[in-house]
Amino acid sequence: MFKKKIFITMLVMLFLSLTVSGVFAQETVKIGTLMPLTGGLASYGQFTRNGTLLAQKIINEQGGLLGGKELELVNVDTQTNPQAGVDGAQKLVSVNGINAIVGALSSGVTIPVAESVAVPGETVLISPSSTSPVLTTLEDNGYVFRTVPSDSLQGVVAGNLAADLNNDKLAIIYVNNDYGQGLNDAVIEQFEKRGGEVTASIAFEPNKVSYRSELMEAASENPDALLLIAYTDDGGITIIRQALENGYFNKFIFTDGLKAPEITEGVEQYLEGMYGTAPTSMPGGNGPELFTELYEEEFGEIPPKPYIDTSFDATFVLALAIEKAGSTEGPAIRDAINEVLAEDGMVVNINEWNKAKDLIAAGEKIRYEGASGPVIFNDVGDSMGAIGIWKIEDGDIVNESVEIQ
Amino acid sequence: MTLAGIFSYLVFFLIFVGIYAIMTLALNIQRGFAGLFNIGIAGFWAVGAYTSAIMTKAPSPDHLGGFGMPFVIGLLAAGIVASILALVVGIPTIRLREDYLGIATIGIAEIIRLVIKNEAWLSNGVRGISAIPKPLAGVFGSNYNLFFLLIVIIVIAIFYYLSEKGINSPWGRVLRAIREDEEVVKAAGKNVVRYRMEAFILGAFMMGVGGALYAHFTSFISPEAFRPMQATFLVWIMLIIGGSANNFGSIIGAFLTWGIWTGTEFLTGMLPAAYTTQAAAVRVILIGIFLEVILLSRPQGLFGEKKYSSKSTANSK
Repeated sequence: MFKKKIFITMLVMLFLSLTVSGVFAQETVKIGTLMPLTGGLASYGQFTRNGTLLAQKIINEQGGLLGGKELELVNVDTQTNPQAGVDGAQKLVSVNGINAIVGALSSGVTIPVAESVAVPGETVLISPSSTSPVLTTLEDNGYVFRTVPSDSLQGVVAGNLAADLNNDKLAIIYVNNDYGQGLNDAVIEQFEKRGGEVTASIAFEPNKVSYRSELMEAASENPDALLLIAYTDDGGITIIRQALENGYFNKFIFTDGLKAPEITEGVEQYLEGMYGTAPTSMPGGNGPELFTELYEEEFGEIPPKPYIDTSFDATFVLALAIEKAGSTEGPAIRDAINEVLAEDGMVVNINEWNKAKDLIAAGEKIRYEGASGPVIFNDVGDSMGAIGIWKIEDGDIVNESVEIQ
Repeated sequence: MTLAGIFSYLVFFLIFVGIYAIMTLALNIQRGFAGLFNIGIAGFWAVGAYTSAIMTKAPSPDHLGGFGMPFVIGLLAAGIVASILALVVGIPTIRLREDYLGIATIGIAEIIRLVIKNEAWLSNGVRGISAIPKPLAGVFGSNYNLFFLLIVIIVIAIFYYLSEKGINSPWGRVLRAIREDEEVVKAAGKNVVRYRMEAFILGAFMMGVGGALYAHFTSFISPEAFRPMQATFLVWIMLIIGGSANNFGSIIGAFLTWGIWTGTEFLTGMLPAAYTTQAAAVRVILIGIFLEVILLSRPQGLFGEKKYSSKSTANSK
């Protein structure tokens, strides 16, 4: 009998917690966040969550929204897994009554959440980090946005860069995930458009000891250069070392995952003058500097991880849209996003929530100088992005120029 | 929070429970009744999901097919392809002793995941397949999930009925005898390998159908969804919690385990926002504690093995 009691107590506790949390709820405006706090992306999730919390703090300190209501953020852990992420999103929508979500991080979670929860539930979803090109073409009734540019943008710039550097034949080695593949496809398309020939395009599995067979295959038709799509900690550095050691390649083009000083350690003279690409903030405004300052005031030193700024922006943009819509209904928020943001609107910085409210009340459009640069969505809900070109000089990484797509 | 909201989450929750219950019923045939140690559930799940997605989707340049078939054909095809896979895997491995079969199946599941990840012509690789059609989408409006739950319940009912029937038949008794002592069954002149193979294939069929339901429900599948933790070991936990060799227990085990898995989020959600990061870790600890409590208090699972006996022996008691 004792065992039965434990069992029943557990069930009662589960359902009590459900109802209790409802009783104490006060009048707030709620936004859901889907951040992974366990699982593969846990090390990113806690910082992107901080990004959203910072936006919440600024908004609440400046009087909240919709006539003085507080902004409340409800986070559900996606466990970096689609099953748990979809369940969590449904919880946010049904139980917490949320009509706007910031998240999820990986495309493998964001897309099923969009298709099975957000779009049918008329909930606006802004992902701060899902870069898969699939999101661009998703049939989402306009409910899905993202504050990062699609991978294919960087691919176009990298393809152009390869052609501009007078390469006729290019070999590509890319990390085998949706990020690597998306970039690879876009590079090939652009490079061939420019009249070049891609002699090899090879996917690699992360963290192997040797990549000599991949390199040998890539070098087999004597390409002029190797375009390497990788991260520093998943084999990218190994590939560079082994390519140099065995003389497979002496000319490289890198992408954002390799934009780190570690790649040149010990091989500075061989990598001197090589180029790379990386998404960067749109030029103009001082959003990034301001964001770093505000973040460090609140949480201490900002870690060198991506998507913290884009998470802040996603939250801020949702708040702008809710204020503009004057309601928390999904369709109204969706329509308000593109009504309130405009490239030639009145400038609002990330700590000027009061000013933003006044502008919205006056019916003005806003140019939001976000933490990741100005945020403007194109007609499929993707953020317009800027891709920077960088160069290795004296073993250091130097930014060269910025291209806007 | 509204009553309608809680109801709609409950429906959603039950759909997931239902899909997991199908997996658990399938594993129960393999493990509970035939004693087969299959830790490659994720592989059969993935094959079912991808098969049905490719069969039912409109033609797409990104992957094989789609063939635009109706939903029911997709489900059946998913089951059949998973069964064929089980046959192919089973031919060399079904004779193995149970722990060796376990190693073989986990290897197969990983191979399947890597094939899906790398063969882009077949499965669109790491990008996954999106826009998988939902049956009769648009007809039910905002009550759609209720309709989908009905489909899941019908599938469970069919599998439950067939599984009970099968186990109560002479075929089922041979299976359980094999589980207890293979040599005795051999001595009785039964073809042990054939029986084990049949159980393996039947279980795989059900896993394939369950995978197909998952694909249609979430509309998007990618290799990320078929990691061993959520797709294999969670099902094992459900079977162990509910009680091995008990079909009803399998369903309750799925309900309770998924309830703990997701319900702990409500508990930790009550902590102040500043502790969100810690709350996520606390949730994982809570899951562990709940499962430990159940296993310590009911080592044989909540329901334990059901006593099956034929009518004649039951009456003679």
